[in-house]
Amino acid sequence: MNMLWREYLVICVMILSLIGISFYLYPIERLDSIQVDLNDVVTTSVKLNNSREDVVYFSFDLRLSPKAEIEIYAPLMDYLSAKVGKQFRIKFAQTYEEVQYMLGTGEVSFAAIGPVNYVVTQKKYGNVIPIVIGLDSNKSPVYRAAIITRPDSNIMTLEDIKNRSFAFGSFYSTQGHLIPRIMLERAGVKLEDLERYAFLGSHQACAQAVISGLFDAGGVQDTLAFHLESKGLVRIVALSEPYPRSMIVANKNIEPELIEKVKSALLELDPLGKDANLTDWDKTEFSGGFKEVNQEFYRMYFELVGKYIMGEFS
Amino acid sequence: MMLKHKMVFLFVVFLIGFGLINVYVVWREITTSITVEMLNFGKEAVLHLRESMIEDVLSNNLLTIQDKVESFMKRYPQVRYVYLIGSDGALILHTFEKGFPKSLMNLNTPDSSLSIKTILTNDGKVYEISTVLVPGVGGELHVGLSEEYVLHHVNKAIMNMVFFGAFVVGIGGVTVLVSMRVIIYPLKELEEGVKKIMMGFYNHRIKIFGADELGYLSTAFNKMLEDLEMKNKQVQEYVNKLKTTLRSLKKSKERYKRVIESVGDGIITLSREGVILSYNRRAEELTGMKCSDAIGKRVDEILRIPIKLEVEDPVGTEVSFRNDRGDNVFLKIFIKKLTSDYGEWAIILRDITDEVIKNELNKKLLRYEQLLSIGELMVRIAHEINTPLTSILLSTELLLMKCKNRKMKEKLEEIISKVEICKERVNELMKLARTGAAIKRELIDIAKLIDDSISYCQACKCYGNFSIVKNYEYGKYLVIADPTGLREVFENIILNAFQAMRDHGVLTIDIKDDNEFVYVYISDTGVGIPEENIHRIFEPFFTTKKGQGNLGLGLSIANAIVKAHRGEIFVESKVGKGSTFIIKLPRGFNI
Repeated sequence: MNMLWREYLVICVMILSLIGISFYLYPIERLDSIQVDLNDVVTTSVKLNNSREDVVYFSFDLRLSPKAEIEIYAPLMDYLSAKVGKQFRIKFAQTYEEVQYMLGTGEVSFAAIGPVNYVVTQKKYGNVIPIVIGLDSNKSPVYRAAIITRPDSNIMTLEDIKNRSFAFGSFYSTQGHLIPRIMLERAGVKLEDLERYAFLGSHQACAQAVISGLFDAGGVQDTLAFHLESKGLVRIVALSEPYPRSMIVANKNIEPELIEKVKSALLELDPLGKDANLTDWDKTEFSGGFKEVNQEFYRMYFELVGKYIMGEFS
Repeated sequence: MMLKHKMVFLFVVFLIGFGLINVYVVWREITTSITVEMLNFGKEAVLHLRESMIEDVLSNNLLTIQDKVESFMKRYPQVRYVYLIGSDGALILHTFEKGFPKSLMNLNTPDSSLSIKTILTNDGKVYEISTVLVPGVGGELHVGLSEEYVLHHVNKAIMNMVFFGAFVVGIGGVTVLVSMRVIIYPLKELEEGVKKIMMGFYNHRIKIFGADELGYLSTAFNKMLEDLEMKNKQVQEYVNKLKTTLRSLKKSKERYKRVIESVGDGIITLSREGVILSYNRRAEELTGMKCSDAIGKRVDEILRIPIKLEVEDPVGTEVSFRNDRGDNVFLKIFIKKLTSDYGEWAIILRDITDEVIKNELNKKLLRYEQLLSIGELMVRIAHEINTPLTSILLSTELLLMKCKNRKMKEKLEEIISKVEICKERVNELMKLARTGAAIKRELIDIAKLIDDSISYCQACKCYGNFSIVKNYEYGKYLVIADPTGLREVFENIILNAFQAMRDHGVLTIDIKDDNEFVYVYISDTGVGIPEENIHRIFEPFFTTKKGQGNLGLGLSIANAIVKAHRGEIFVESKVGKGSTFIIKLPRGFNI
């Protein structure tokens, strides 16, 4: 034993070294975890996460599916939060009326809405102001509406739609209702001349209804019509003349500084350049960014809305 | 514990230690990997759940949300819990059976992206993944993933690995053992074969194991054994021959050695450089140096004379040699060239001491015989001369008594003086001739005799200033001798000492004795005797004082007298320092 003690020592040192290296490379996990007793439960209904007072709420017209809209507007909220220094959150509204209500009651401070919805809200509550207007990819502040039919349809002109079924988007939609109504009336086709008609809630639903054959024709936004036509799913029967595009409005009761900050941030937004990473931004009415606008630019809509929208249902 | 057991023990300890470390490392690695994978999966699953619920959340369709969450939990058993918080902070839904735990309130608020926190619950560790319920809108989605599920699978995998590893090691061990036996058995056979060969059993053959490498090896080994057996026989025969030759060679060598050792001459064999290779016994005796000391040295160092190993010297060169024992020997040295491998040259030393001494003695004998003849002649002549000289002396003295003329008287006195000198010389010659002829035998005290001799000599040579030191006492040194003869001896030597010291010096006389002899030391501080004259001073008519009326017979007479007493005289002298005469006399002698 005396003769081999050095060798035993060497082996022990080797094993200890191996153990040391192993534990150095793979240390025993230190549990800096949070201790939680799952049995200690909340007995009354409480709010777990109080809303913050400095949150600025934003809403929009539901023009696509809720998920698609969220995917588009969530990055804009991050952008505004970073630029303005306040947290921006979406307040989702299922309907145009809901947007009108939230804007009118101040539940939301800003909203991306079409001209019809702006005019209706303003007429109802009188407290919204447009701050920027959307531009298309050609930096143009106007858009058109399109009357579409299936490619194999025998509808060739607007007049052919008489006694046929027709699909609108939302009732408060500019491109999905107001402008197609104007186009049809100018072609001598009134609602009563239609075999049947319906408001399907969104441009997408309207297009799907036409493509699927539920309706013979429909009125949708020009960009969607071009897109579907390029795929051979629809044929554009007629395009409207240009109308001022959708806008971002603000509740005029909030701090003017905040409005100015938001306006500046939106005017800085360059979806075609530095901010091209915004998700599906080309599907919005603001694909080319924004431009400063005032209420006068939408004055033409006040009469049309009064005639075609509010006159019918008010 | 045997060494191999110790090795096995250490190996097993090391293997177990290494295995445990390995298992730990693998366990950690797998746990980490699976945990990471689980979290990655969890993130994906949570995002997927969120995507599937966004529209329901926005539509506030709680029933659908609940269905989706339940379906999610059923599909993924590692999900411990799910809870949703609306954008207004209100709890929308949770899956805790007992109610929502207080501790989870505001615990893991997600930022813009996913947030993961490790929570240690009373049911084990949970990785909670939380995210915003609807991006841009707010709300929270929390999903707790149980680590227990991961550990269960990891531990199962590890245990399977350990058991399978142990099983493989066991099977492998048994296989190795069996294989080793299969391989080692033929090798053992080979080992046995080698052992038998080592013991001399060259007729042993090993078994042939199949047609593999070991089979070839066994066949080759057997072939090698056959060759080895044959070669061994040949070697044995050769060895026997060699032994016979060796025996005869040994006998021849012994014979040669005995001859060399019994030869009366010293024989030294040398290398061509003159280094001694062999040295026989006679050479040892002659040089006084042992063979073992001489071998390896140069022959010049031993013989102390230059030896030229160039040509043979068959005639021999005579040299006087004082060997290592202090003996003087006369050698005749022959040089002989050898042709054998033992060396190029041989030196033969022949002792010619006896021959030289014999020659010397013969020469002395011849000389003594001549001197004896001369002495007898001289005695006759002296006797014949002495008678007329006595007549001349008497007649001249009568004429001197009667003569009145002064000048005549002077001439007559001169004649008387010269005649007396002639008589004295004649008497000395007669004494020399007569020594040993008539020695008296009386008990005498040497000390007293020496004192008488000193007194006589002082009376004769009173012109010097000498100190005399006497180291003896009366009555102690008694011998039976001829007092007249010994007195003649002492007087001669003491007078010579006075003459050697000329006018001053110290004469020292010591007497010593032993059971048989008395030694008289007479030392002077005179001029000393040159070395070349020492061995001649006892020769008759040898003198260094010629022209002083000295015949050179004094010491010859003294030596003759002492030898007549069976004694001896020795001389030790150094020129300029003085001389010592040692007279050795037997206490009693028979003539």
